[in-house]
Amino acid sequence: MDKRIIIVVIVAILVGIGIWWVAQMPKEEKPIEVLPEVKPKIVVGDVGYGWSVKDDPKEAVKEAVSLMKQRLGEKSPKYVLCFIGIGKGNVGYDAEEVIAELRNQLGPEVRIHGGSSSLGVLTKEGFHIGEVGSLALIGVVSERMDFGVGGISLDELSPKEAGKKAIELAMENAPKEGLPQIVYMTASPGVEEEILPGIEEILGIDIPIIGGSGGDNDLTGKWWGVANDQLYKNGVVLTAVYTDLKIGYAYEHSYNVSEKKGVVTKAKGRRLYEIDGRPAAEVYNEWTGGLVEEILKEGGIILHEVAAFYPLARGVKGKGEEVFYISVMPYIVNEDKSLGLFANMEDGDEVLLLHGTWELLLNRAYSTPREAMATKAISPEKGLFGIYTFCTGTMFAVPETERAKFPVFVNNALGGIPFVGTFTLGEQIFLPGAGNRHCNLVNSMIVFSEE
Amino acid sequence: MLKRGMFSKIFGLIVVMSLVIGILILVVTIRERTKAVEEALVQKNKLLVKVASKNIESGYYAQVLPLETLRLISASEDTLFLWVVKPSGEIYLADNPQMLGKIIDDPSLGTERVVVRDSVYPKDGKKIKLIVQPIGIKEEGKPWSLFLGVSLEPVVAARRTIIAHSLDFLVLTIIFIALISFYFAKEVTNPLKHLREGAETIGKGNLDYRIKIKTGDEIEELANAFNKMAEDLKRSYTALEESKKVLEIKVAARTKELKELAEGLEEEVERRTKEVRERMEELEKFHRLAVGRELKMVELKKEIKKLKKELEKYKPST
Repeated sequence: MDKRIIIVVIVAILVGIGIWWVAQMPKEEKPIEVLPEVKPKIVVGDVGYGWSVKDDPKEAVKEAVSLMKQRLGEKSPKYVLCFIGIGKGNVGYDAEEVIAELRNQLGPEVRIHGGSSSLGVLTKEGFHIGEVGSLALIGVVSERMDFGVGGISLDELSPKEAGKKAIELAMENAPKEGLPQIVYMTASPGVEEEILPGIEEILGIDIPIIGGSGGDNDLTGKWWGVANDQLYKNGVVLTAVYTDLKIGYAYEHSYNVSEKKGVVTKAKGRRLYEIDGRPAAEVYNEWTGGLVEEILKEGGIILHEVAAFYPLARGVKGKGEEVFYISVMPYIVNEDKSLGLFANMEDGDEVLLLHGTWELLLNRAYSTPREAMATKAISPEKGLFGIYTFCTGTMFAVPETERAKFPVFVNNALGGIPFVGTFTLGEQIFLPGAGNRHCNLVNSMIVFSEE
Repeated sequence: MLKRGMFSKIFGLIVVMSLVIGILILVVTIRERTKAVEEALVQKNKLLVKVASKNIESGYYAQVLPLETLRLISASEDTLFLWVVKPSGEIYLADNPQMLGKIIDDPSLGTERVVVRDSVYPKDGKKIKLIVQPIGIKEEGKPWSLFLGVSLEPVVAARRTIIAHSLDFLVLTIIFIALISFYFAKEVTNPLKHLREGAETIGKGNLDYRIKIKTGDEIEELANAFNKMAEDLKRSYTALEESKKVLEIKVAARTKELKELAEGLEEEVERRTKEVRERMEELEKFHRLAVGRELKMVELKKEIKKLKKELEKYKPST
């Protein structure tokens, strides 16, 4: 066979292979196009909100107030609720500077309620976390709402007396007479269970007192509250809200209730000594399948993942046979095998083990606001604004990369109604028929809406 | 001197053809195996997004989205990005928090069927496989979508491994084929070489030489034919030698005869030659005489003619 023919055949085969190979190559596709971010239109209304993550507190206040005013059509609000995040660096703004600048920006007439928030703050635009601190505020000019803000230090009065005094001051501060429809609360962590009865002494048990204890990142006391021009590092701040608007409200712990239950046989304040006559820590260890075994003998701090995913619940009797289970976070096993809690328990309380995952805790950022909307059939078009409170302990239990979803879920539930959100070291919730209670690990939503 | 021996032709042809075929097979194998790896990767991820979309759908209505599931899928080394996208293009959920709320524009948005296509990762421009799975949550009649960007790095890594292993195998195979073809070529050409050497030896006249080849094939037959030829040639040469000797004797005798004859002839020739020479001399003499006389005759004729002419002058005219 002629050599040339062989060479031609080989070359032809190689060329054919090459063409086939090229034909098999994936064709270049157009990349997915991510459209440039479009800043939301400023919609002027009766409610304006603003936020900032600037390091300088004055600049942060200026920026946040400026945004708020744009949304108010440069009208001066009658009330501003302000949450201040402690920041990544766990430093926080200088509270005095913040207050001074707020007053400077808002003028002398505006009622101001402020509270510290762990890590950052929420608005519909995101989870705002600054290096030094962050700020989110909401201002209201609605004719159909009136506000009174009052605060008191816990240094001079008993918690109960302080609660009573604070609500009186708030009501005095309001331009309206009578009892408010709802009260928003910011207290220093520690004695909330004693503050609430003081407030209820004035309001009764049928008016919701909703809120959260001032937050910080590591329980080292960086929390604070603001009532108008007064800073409280150990105090209580209340806003009394007077309105004929619809008020939607919901709270949720969202944990699954397990079958592990017992009765508190010995407790004092936030120390749970015994369940069913046995050391509480031992019972807890059994219920959790040995998750605190290592610290049982000598005591120690309960791992955050254990405490956040295996909290306790306390039964609170409502009207008739109704029982509310409010979540309580254990945080320490003491040497005497008692459990340290972030909320009170009492002898005779029914106590159960709850179980949850970060997934459940994050998902409730949708379900709770949704529930709040549903309680009064509030539609996004009619909603005015919302106040969202989320337990710090459960926030830190959510993986960091997932936390940006908080405002996404809240926003999706509210359908775009503006809101501000705070992360707190304890929450105050309303149990219809039972009154107001302090608890842990919950999130709550208040939504104000036109008819 | 041969330009290129049969050994190198056979050996070279086998090795080159093996190499060419080996490369062809290598190319096709690499392509097909890479394709299989890519297909397996796509199938695995298609199943993942299908399960995830079902979980998202049920979670959405139960108000408990399967965030942990999505997180686990995102954590897979194949996964570049995982987005839950509304039909409007708004990214509702994303593994990367910075993508939350962003708006994308893609032809697969709102698809009712699973789409698998090649695409480009917006972040770094790398080629990826994009899987878009519809979710059973609808807005304005169009379903939400789950966008999964699958890295092709495992395919690239697999291709590298396949190429490396295939090249190793190809090299080993070529070496093996080279050894076999070397042996085969030697098996073919060695007998031919012996045959050639034998033919040369025989050709040089050593008709006693016999080619010893026991290959059991045509070459052995050829060698046997050469040997027979040598045998026949030897016999022929022997007969020829004898004939030659006889001929030589005859020729010698005849030669002697002829010599003697030639010698006798020579003498005769010499004698005759002498005679002829003598005659020639006589003839020459005669010739000279004749010629002399002839010349004289000519002169006489001329004289006569001249005289005739003179006489003519004196003849009276009539």
